[in-house]
Amino acid sequence: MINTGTIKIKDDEFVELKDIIYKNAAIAFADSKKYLIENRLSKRLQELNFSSFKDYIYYLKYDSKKREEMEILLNHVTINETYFLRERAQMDHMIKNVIPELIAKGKRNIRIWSAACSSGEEPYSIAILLNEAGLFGKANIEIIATDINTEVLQIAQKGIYRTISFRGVPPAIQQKYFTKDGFTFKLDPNIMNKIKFFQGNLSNPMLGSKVGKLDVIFCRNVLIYFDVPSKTKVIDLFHKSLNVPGALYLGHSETLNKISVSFKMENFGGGIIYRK
Amino acid sequence: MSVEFAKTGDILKVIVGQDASGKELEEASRNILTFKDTARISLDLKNCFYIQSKALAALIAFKKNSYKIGADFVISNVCENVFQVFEMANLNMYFTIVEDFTTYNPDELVEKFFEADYADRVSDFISENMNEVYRKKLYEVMESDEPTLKYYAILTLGKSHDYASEDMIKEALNSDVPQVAKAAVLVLGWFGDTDSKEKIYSFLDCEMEDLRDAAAASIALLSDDSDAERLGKLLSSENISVRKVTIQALTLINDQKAFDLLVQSLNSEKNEEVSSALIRAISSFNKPGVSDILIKALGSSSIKTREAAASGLAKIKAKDKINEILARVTDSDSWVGYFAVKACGDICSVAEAQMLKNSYPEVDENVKLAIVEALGKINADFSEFYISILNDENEDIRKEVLSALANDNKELASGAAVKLFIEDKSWLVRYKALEIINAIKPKDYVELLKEGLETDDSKYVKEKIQSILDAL
Repeated sequence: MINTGTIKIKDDEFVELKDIIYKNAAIAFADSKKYLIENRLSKRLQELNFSSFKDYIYYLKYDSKKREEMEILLNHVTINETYFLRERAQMDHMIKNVIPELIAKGKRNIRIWSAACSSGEEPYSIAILLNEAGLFGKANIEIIATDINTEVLQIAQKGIYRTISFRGVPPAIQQKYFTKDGFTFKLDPNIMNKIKFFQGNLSNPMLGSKVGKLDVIFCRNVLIYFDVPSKTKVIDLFHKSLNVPGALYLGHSETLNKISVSFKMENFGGGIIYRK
Repeated sequence: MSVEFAKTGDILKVIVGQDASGKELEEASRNILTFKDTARISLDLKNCFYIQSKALAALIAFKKNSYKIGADFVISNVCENVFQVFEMANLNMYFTIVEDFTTYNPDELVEKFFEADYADRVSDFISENMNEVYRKKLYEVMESDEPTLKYYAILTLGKSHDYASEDMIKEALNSDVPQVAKAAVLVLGWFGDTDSKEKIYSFLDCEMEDLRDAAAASIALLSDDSDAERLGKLLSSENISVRKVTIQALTLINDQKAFDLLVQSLNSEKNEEVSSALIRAISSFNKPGVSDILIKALGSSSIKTREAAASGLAKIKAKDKINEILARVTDSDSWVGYFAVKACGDICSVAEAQMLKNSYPEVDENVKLAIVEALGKINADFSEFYISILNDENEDIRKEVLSALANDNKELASGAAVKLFIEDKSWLVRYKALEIINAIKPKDYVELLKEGLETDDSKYVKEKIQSILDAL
């Protein structure tokens, strides 16, 4: 593809495109993120022979394959870089406290949801740590992983990663669970089998019935992209989906302050857990 | 200390700590009154990851007191959480919010390479302000094993023309992290390092698309007379990705030999995707015969190729082919029609424009939109036509009509924009009307906007009105 540089987006085009993205994914792009739209979509516009974002918006509205293009658009704008064992303290807290507490209360079926799993590093990290702690043998633990972006889900399901996904991962863990193949690393199929992946849009109220009842939810570094009404809806969905007791982990810079009072906040030193 | 003051020249920075109380902020807002010779006050919230409601009143006091001493007031480095609090309180429209990387030390700046939203801008900032401290930090990063940091360090050194780092960057070509190798490929191209050309050629058939693209771009930058021929052989590779990236490199080389090779390849290429890439590539050459090739491609059975050809004709403004292009306005594929109209918009005469107008009733909605836009670019008055479709059911048509009218007849455009700004049910149309009102500035328009700020139910329209009124 000939990349002739970034196509600039005009104010009215940006406003319309961000409205389209908001309506389809509840993601609210601030004006300061204009450059992000330009950077992520310019190449796609050039592939379609378009020279302006107006052309592209009309394509999204009038082309016979507009539904497919909407998926491509959302795939381009919802990519979130992640890596294995990111913000590990929360996962360790779940492994050392939440899961043992549930088992101690007699719970034998435990369900964990990675609600915006991106390319799979988060749910696989959870599975690896559960395996390291020997918890799979103590309860029937199911891990569900969803993301709105179908492209990153495909990467997740392949379980093949590049070095960039391993920043800060202890070499012993990397060697134990991954096999090097040229530039890439293939995840152990026994860990891959622990996760059920499917596409899920957090702004879709039907998602709750697709995932069912849960004991732990991880939804980290995603809510920052939502505006307050959308955040409130998502947190409401999480609250309804969680059993009692249930645990919700958000990203370090995310908070339920002014969003919801349904959860009890607890600071465990390495981060925050919201309990139901 | 919870609130610190730092004055450089006529700029006063007020750096707020996370633990600053509302009371301390209020006191600080009063203290700024003593800084009389200040042109700008920048309240830096880089350390604030949340903000209490009480502090908001103090921020408003900051702005008022800044104006009292004749200084601009901005808030800098606002994190997402705090920004959302501003939004809830509608203060995002009240404050000017900026990024100010000068507040961060080199370690903090490099750490921002991990944040996708900031990384590129931080890299630009460092390269524009390169000094020994930043250089030392980037060299330190080059010695590390952290691929993300290394990727941005290489790009930053490249952007700042740091030729002293060339050997380190050459070493990065051997990295087993494609992202790091990609940065090295790009920078060595910028540096004109012909010694690395052979190594860069080896990336043309690698798995990672970004790295292939970078290799094509750098080969073009490092090319001499022999490269087009060498690349030409790759146009017959069995690997489609290699053929596509070779097209890219030849396009960037853009000489006669590259052109001939691309045209030759188009005649034998069987793959639709590669053919359309060839058409796009050929349309970027300023050579005789390009318009003939594109017109011929308009007759292809492949929709992708026809679309690429029509788009190419729009790009090259092929005035001598206007009749052939006009004939495609009603193509069975509406996007071919769309591009054909766009091509006409830049080159056709009034008589040809009339033909475009006449085809309006028989084409699809997207082509209609292109026709209205194209007519607006032609130096002729189609006001009557625009008015006849101003109440079309399709909001995009109404929007395009307003734009076209604004080009053709300012007086009519002004009246139509005011009417639609008040009455139209679509916020998109009202937003466009607002832009036109702001450009034409009809009598009493400020009052109209103020009323719109009270009554309009679209947050986008309201934000736009607020920004216009703020600018006034």
